[in-house]
Amino acid sequence: MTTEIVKKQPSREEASLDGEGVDVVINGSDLPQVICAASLAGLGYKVLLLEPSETYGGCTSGPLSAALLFGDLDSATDNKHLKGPVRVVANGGNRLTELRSQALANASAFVLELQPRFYFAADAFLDLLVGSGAASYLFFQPVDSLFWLQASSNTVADTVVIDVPCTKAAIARSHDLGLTEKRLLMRCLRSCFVLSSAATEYDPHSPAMDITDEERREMNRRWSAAGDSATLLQQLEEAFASAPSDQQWKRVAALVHDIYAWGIEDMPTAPATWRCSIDRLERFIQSVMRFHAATPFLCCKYGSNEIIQAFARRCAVKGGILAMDRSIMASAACDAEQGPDENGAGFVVETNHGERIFCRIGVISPQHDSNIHVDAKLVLRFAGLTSEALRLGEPGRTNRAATGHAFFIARFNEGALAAASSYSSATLYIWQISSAAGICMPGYYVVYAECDLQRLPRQQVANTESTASALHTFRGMVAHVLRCIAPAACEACDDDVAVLESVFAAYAFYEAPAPPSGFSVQTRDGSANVSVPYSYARMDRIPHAIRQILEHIVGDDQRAASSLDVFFGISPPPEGSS
Amino acid sequence: MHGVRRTWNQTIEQAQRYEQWSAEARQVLQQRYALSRECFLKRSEPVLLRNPEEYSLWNRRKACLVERYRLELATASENAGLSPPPALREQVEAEFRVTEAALRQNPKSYATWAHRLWLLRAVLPLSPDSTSTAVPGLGNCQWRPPWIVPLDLAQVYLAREEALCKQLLALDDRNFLGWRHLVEVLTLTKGIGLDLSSSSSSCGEGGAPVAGAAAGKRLLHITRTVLDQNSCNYTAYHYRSIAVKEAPQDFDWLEELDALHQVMYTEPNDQSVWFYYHWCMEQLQQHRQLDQASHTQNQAHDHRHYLEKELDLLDALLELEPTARWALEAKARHLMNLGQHKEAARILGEELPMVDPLRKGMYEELADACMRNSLA
Repeated sequence: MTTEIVKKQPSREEASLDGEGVDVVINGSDLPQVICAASLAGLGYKVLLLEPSETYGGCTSGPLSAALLFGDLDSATDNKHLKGPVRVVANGGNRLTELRSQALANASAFVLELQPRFYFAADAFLDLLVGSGAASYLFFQPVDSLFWLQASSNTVADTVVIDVPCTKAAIARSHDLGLTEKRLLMRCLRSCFVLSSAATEYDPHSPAMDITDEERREMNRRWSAAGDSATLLQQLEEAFASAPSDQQWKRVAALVHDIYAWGIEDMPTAPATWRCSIDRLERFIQSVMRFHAATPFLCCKYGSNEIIQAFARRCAVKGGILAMDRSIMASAACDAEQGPDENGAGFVVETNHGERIFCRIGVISPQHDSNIHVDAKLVLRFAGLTSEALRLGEPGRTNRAATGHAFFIARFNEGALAAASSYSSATLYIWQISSAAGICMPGYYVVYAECDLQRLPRQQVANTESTASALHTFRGMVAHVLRCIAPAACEACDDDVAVLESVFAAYAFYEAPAPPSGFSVQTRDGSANVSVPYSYARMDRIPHAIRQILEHIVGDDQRAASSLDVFFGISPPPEGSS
Repeated sequence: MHGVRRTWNQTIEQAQRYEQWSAEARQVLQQRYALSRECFLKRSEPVLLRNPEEYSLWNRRKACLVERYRLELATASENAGLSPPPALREQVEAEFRVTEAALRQNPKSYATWAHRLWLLRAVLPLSPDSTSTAVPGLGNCQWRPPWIVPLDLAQVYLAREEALCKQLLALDDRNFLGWRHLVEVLTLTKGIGLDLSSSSSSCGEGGAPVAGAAAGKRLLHITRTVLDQNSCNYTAYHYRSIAVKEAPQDFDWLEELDALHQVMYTEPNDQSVWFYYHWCMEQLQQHRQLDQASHTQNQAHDHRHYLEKELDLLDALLELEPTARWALEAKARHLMNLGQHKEAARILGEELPMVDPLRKGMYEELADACMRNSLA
């Protein structure tokens, strides 16, 4: 017998915000907005955050039950059970029945998150989480394995798959790298680390200790001689011009550039400078050393949505107001006479329920990239459930625990995507998250795949057609990676769909809306636009962009600047503060 | 602790704290024979927990404990069963806890480790049929507990020791006192007869431990785990070589050499690997010489063949890293073993001093010795 729990919702009159006077109004509850809300509330501002939908999270809002996502295509197209604007573009899987009943039975025990993220452990974002106090509401787990695939053509045999070793001992133990490659890799890493800005000779673990001063100066001189705009690959090629085998060297250099220096997200037309790459490499190594984990990444237990919840809690604890189910219809500057108090001009914000809210200092609203034709992003996502971990090689060879989380990064070079040659090189991210993270049902792993298929300007086709061809390409990429990672399961399958079906019990492809690419900050002095770039594993740009937004609101206040330093984890909190 | 920089400038507070501690310690020391047993045990505990490096206090504790046990025995002699009375067990546990706390304070204190080992040896019999009644370290105290510690209790104690050692080694994997204790514990495990495959041999009185085959395997496993975490650990290699000597039959030399090659290529400047590598090559040579007697002529050239393979590997490494001095030295040694003394002397005399000028004299001497060997 089931009991229906009827919640007494507050009536519209009780919860009305009409006539409310606040300092800052923030529109939306994506990650940047909740961070701004928590920070401003902590500084003493009266903050009001308005969220159009009924749950937090904006473009990542959940919860989403697997039964709904993996259900039949017919019932999912109307989307009415899916919270938030998620569109399932393709569904499938023949082994659904058993899995669906299991999922329904366990529906209350897990959530699915639609934009999983892994975080570098020694990053500005982690510092922000700690400094703001949001980390006290969160649990993190280290990611156990990091795999890198370099697909140069469509045959599995030509794809290089490496279990990326992140420590010296892991490099020594690695079965994927030969002796020469290990030596070259260590030399590369050591040179880069020695040249990084944080390497000092006082740290007993730093490789900078076993290098003489002249050698270090000479290295600095040689690398600076190439100029500041040279890329890391160019510098390494010059430095290791006498490498014996071209093939091995290319592989090691690609590995260092793509993974250790995280160049995998750079566009080929705009590569990072060598100094920037070295900073990223140093961050990679510091992240590994920070918690002595096997990889530099942490993954948020119970999903990345928890981070948004944590900041929302911080905001509420400091006196902020968060109101759901309200979108801003209009916001206009108003003069001193129209405001409720004599402090002067501000803004009047009108919501879809007809409430008029007076805002003294500023309004922060998101901006979405409305230009969809030139350089537009098409991000397709995939969610699949499997009962066995995707693992490279036999279980006995690697030392990793079998219930771990894994992160696979696959770089498809030009020519590898035979189906749709109009797409340039693409990077496919595959996350495997175990049930130990509280995200999927016990005994299963959720496998997410995400790829940003950059559309070239000459493709001026209608949305649905391009989505279909993009989906086809994406499916092919996922299937190709699966053949490399889980070969035993896909031996006899040639068809992409067949590969997916044989590995996953249920799967779905979906499009979730893009997060806001920028914010407009309207203050009494004028308005400003700040762009907030989102990137798959690089969250360190977000704190910087948010700081800019906050500085527009806060202005020149020195006390506020030092509080912001504490909030962003740049300086430690003063003694005796909570 | 290795890897942590020491500060040589003591702050004023630290100096004051030390003064306080040494005043207290001196007081307790002076009164150690005057105080009653329980009083001494109570007063020396906080002193030792702050700084365990005071042997006389530990020794006096040993004597107090023994007196206490004797009294217990005297009172409980009527119903003395075959297992230690629970009150006694509690006191032993309390003493173990004191040593553990002292170890956390200073994991490299000789006195504490020695005390803990003494405690273990006093509580557990050395072997199932041990007739010796002397407790090591107390000279003429002829005393032995009359009971036989049940095996499960002994196992609990020894497992706890192993866990403690592993914990402290995880903090600092070059803590040689921890390693030493671990080997002693494994010896005691063997000595007590906890592993069923052991046959003979008991621990000599205060002599070198003679570990059995199962203990050897255990040590091999532990050293492998430690080396997997950090392959540049001389102590671990040293104990691995001891373990190998005890359990030679299940040791795969070729796999070991392969693992060493990986480390050599990953970090050619780490000296511990090279020392162990040379030891392994020597052991292999001895093994093959033993095998040669029983095998056919075809395998007589085996070792030369392996030496040549090693040489190829070292040459490849030297191509990548021309200044790797350990690799050059290893190459010279292999050449000497192969009989190519002139080439070896050339490397020692010319190439090595260029790469490592600080040790020029040593290389020149080695080169001379090499030439003399070739002429002899």
